[in-house]
Amino acid sequence: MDEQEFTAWAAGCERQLLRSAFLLTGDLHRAEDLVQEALTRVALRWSRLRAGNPTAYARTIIVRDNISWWRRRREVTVAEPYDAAAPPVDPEVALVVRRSLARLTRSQRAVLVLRHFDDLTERETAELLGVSLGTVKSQNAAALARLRDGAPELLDLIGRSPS
Amino acid sequence: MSMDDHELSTVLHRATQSIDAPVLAARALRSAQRRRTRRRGAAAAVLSSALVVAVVVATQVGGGTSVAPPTSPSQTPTAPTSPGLSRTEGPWDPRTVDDLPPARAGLSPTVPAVIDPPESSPLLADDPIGAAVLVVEQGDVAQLLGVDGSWRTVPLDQRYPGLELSPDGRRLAISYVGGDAGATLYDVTTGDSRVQPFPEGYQPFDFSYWTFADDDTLCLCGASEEIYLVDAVTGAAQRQAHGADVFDPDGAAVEADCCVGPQVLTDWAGGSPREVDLQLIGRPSSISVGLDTVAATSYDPGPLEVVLADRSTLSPRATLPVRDPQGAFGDGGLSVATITDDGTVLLRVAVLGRDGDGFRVVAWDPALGTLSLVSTNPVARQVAFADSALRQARPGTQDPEATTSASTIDPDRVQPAWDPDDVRELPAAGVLLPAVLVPEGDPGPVRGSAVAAADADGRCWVLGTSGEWTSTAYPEPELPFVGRQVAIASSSDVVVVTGRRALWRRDVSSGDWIEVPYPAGFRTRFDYSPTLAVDDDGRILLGQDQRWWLIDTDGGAPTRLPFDRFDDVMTSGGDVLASRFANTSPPTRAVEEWRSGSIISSQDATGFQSLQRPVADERSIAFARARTGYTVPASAVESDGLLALDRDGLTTRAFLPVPSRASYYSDNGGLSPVGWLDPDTVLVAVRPRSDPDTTWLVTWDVETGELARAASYATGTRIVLASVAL
Repeated sequence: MDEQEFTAWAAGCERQLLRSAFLLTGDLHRAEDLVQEALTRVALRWSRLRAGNPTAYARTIIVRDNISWWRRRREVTVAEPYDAAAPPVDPEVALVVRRSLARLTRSQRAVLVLRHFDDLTERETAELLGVSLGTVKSQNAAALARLRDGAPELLDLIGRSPS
Repeated sequence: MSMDDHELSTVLHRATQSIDAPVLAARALRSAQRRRTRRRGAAAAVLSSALVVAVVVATQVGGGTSVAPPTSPSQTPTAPTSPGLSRTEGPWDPRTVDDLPPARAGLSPTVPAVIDPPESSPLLADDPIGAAVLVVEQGDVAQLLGVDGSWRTVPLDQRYPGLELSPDGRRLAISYVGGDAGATLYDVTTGDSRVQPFPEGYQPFDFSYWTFADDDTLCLCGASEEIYLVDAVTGAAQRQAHGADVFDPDGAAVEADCCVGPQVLTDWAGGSPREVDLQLIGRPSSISVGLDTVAATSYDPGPLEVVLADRSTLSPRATLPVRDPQGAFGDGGLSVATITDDGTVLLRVAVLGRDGDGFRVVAWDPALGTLSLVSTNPVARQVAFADSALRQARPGTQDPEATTSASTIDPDRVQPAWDPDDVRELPAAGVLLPAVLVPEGDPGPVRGSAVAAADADGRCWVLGTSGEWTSTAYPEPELPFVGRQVAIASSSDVVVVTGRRALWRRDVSSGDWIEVPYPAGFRTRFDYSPTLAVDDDGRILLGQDQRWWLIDTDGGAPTRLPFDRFDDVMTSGGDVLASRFANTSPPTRAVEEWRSGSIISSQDATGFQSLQRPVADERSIAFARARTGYTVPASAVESDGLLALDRDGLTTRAFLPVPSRASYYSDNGGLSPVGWLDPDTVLVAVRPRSDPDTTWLVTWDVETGELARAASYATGTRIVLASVAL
């Protein structure tokens, strides 16, 4: 494989992937593990992926690995533990977002992050998650409704108050 | 009342803007290269197997006499398969070593939890001991810890000593860097000593060092082309024309010299060299050899990891990936200490970045993928262990025979499914609880016995059998609601709350708060409520993050419990029960019972799938059960629901299916056992999907399957129950 080409591609996308994975998991260490695993699998298939969309492939691995890990564990996390390695800058925003996302189901969270952080279209999100377009629409609406009702501090953060 | 896409996107970006660009590409490349190597190895194994089959068939068809091919003593097996490989999920960060739970009792039982020699101790020559567990360099003396727990002193002649104990701890060898007098050899059992000179003609050099090959044999090592084996009694030396990096428990030398030449492990067991390609485990930076296995830290190719491999083939059995972004742990900060008699791998982990923090001995269970803390050496100083003391895994304290085979739900014990949305249609239960629990009333002592405690409106409330609530202020500025927790003993006489600086305990009848210090290592947090319970003896169970403690409020020291964040822990009578989850591949689950710091039973519960929020009485244990399969349930047994088991044998008493989409009830906390009201009745808290703002307390008769409504309260109120009489 062309290691330079792979490294250049990874350097361009790994920070975005890591931020996205952090929003999906709320845990920076786990996010790093997910991204590294995704990059490793891209590296193994680089010759086939390089001409296509390796970033989409990596993002798919991150989202699906995260869901399958959670399914394997199947434990309740009442409140997600504070991660000492989480970013220290703008801690209030980070904490509010973290708590707010914790109110969502895993699938709602995935849809929200892909749509509103990774800026994927509904169709791209549906393809990545392997669900229908309607499911993405309904999950997105449910996620936003849950945030409106259950996370007023998030609304405060963006300068609005719940009515 | 809305947020638009742009605003939400902006907030999500702000929340993650400080996450730096990682350097993951290089690690990913190394990892990919390593996987390719393994795949090629596995493919080669399949190919070689096919060739063997072809040769055998050809020989049989030809009718000739098969002649075994000549076996070279240095034959290198080619890339065998890796049966039973288990990999711990995600790399372990050794910088968090002090967050590990303590190792189970019985593992290296004579090695102290903290290595803390006294300022002085009797001379070994004056007062010998039976055998030593370890030796510590302490200024101008070495102190030996005996198997009886007492310390002895051996004077040191120079700085920079090399300390070595024989595997059985009965001999101590002390040498000095740059010294030309050989080694001083002590008989720990008599206190006698003698000087063992270098063998005649031997020229010591910078890398010469003494170690023990076995209990009665010293080894003078250092050069790759020769070692000297020295009889510890007679002093007779015998030159061997090969090197030795480590010795197995029988004293056979093993070389793992891979800096130059072919990267092979050379095993001298049986007296003949046998070479095995190191490619399956990578280049080791430390290695320990058991009778059947090899444990090594491997850093090349790929990231640092600990590998347990088959000794004959080096086929990996389990790996422990290690986070080592700065390379410090791969550069000697983490090494394999030994393989214990029960197959646990002990690691020696340096505490980096803080002067004087020494090292930790960590146990890695390759079968379960779990880590625990065996011993702490809190000061930077030289410590050498007797290998037999480290290796010892005392049977009985975790008796493998006490582990039963996997259990599953008995289909004959499955009751009709229940939908909690129908909770209002249930008959009323005859319990001593108001129909609706609303903490409101006057300050003051509780009237009658306490039935429940509540955390509401910034006060601690207690419900008496009179049906009246009374409240008291918290004893210090309280934590935010999220960081606070309240518990009440089932005997109803003690309430405990978490405060900012301490736990607070109140006798319900007296009304005075008594401060109970937090155990060392507990950190008050404002974003996470700890687990808190108090038993009828006043002992407090406290759990947060990966740590659990049992605190004796009568003045005893807190006991650290060996559980972590994925475990559900509770007390029952004098015992501690835990539903333990091991995030191995595949994941496993066990129900363990502990008493006085030792495990008294461990029962495999993997077949029940996810078991959460246990409550137990003397006979039974109840859980919220969540299925972990992906397929549409084919039967009621595969549903989420409530599961009641006999503690003895984990046989099914009853299973009440409570199906729900997305595991709303079991996984999301909408269904939680609260306690056993009598030997057949469990009180359960239910938050119906159709009305999640109300929590209902429901009684479940596990024998008849009858359900009844006991009470309800607003979900936002934190209510914990004491004894509730039927």
